[in-house]
Amino acid sequence: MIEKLRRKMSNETIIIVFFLFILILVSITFTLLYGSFLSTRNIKLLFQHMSVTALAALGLTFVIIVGHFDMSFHMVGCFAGMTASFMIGEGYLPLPSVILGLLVGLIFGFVNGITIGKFNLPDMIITIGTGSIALGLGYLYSGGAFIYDNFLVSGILKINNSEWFGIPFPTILMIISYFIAYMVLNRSKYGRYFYATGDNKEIAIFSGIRVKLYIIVAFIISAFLSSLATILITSAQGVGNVKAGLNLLMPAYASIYIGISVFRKPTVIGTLFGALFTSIMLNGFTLMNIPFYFQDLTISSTMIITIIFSKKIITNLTTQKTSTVQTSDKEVAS
Amino acid sequence: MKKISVRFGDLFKARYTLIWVLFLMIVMFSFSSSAFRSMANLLGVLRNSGIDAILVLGLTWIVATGGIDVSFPDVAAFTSMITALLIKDGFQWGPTILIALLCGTSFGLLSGFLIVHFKFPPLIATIGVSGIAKAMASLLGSGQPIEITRSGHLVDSLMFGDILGFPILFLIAIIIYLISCYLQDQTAIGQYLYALGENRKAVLEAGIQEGKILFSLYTFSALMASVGGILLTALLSSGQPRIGFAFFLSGLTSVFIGAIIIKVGKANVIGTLIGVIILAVLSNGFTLLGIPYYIELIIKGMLLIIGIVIIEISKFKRRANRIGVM
Repeated sequence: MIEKLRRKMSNETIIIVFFLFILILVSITFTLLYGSFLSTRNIKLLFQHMSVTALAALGLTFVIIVGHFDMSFHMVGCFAGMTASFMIGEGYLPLPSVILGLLVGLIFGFVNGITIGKFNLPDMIITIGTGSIALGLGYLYSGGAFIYDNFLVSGILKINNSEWFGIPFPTILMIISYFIAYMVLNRSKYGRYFYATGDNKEIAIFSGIRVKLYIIVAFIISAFLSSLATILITSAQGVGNVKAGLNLLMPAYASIYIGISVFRKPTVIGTLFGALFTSIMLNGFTLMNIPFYFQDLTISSTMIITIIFSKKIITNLTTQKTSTVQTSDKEVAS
Repeated sequence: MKKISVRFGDLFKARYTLIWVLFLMIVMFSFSSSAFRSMANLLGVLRNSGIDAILVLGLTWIVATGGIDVSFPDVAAFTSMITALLIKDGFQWGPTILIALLCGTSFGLLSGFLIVHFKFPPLIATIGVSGIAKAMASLLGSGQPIEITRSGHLVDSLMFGDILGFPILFLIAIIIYLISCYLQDQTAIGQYLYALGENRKAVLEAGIQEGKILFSLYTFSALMASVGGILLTALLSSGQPRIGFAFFLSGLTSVFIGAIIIKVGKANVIGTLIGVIILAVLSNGFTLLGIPYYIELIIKGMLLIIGIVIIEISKFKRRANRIGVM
């Protein structure tokens, strides 16, 4: 029977079905353990929480696709979040504050992209350097103290709290960004160019693809979306905190690499699944009243176990057909 | 023939830039702060840099092979917590150190296993392992630091004592670094490290067991992080579950800054030692001048970027010269 199914469906469908099956299994387990897991309130909370991680992870996905690493996005996010909070504290309206915050993020993304894409400097070193500069600048506004001023009256809290058609606004933002990213990466020539840049830079150059441009754009997207994510965190916490974005590093990488382990290459859908999976695990365990420091343990063990299992299981499920897809996996792993 | 003698002009080459930066920093801080130039303070700087240096030794070689290990600060936090817990429960230092080293090293075994056997990218494997280590460290003290009230005479004298005026901690670090310098430059293992960083395929073709080397490197890194964690516990008389982030940035920065010194663009032990000392001098001088912690972050980031730019320019020039000759 499995043989029949395998013939009918494409590899990708098998993987998605399999992954959905595991998600449902996990959700059922949590519902049995803890009744309110599937309540509307909890699901809203889950998606609200997930959208932050998912946005940061989406930006990072672009950087991973072009074959680089970004160790600065969470620290750039901290700076952007603090910039927005500072503007709010000075009495500006939320919209210009958020725009300025995002702009600051963009500038750091641009610097990362220029140094790494155009001048070919090593990505890890540069991003750690720019990241620590960004974090240091984030401290400058208040010397590391929380910014509370004007937060309750300015309306920035609404970014997180407002709902459209019963869906929380961060989730709408997430859905829109994922839709755009999916269209760009999977349904346009630019997506091909991004993947080509990451797969083999030299061939991409000889094919006439402006590799440097795509690397710069990838880093800009990463910095922009992580800034957005951190501003969402700031809005959710109702306070300007320098360290707001620092916890994004692990979940973002975890989401992407869960996605990569499942789809054999960095994809938008894979990242979304990864973010959903880590968020469900996190939410489920939080409902069970585990202490806060188990968050890291949950995310990292979920990531490690998923990657190992999907390497074993999915290879078995799809071995007969995969020949072209698996080559990109080696590129990512190396 | 390779020339071994150092010419005067060589001292002004790009690869020695940061040594001049260190020199200038020491001179500037000595002029502007009388507290900085006191003997006790300078020895304190050396003592602190000793621990930092031990923490990042394993990382240096991992970076040299082209990998990265971000789990070392959390492994150190974990060992510091388990050491504090055991000492508090009435264990002697001997068995405590043994248990702490074993537990800490097991994290390295895990990340090595994930990287070699399951082909995880090093960054991802070590991010995962660091999450586990961080959570375990918090778990041991339920999220709180653990204080040690009795630390024993021997340990105190080791931590704060000195031989010939040098802090013992720094001397321990120097000895470990001399041994590893020998390993790196004079033995085959050291050659394999850099070969792995240069051309992985060639290494495989040459029949070198890449897996074994990587596995032992990640284990070694965790071992060194554990040693650093134990020393930290003894120095601070407490186990700290959340020291991770402070060491994360400064540790990686010192290794990458070190990669700019001596071996151009490649992480090496002497470079790392100098990098650690540069950062220790910087943070000590800034603290004494009353400059806040976050300015230090900015300066560190700039040092990294400026350093890497200098290296790239010098590489570019050298390449241009070579092409010109041909």
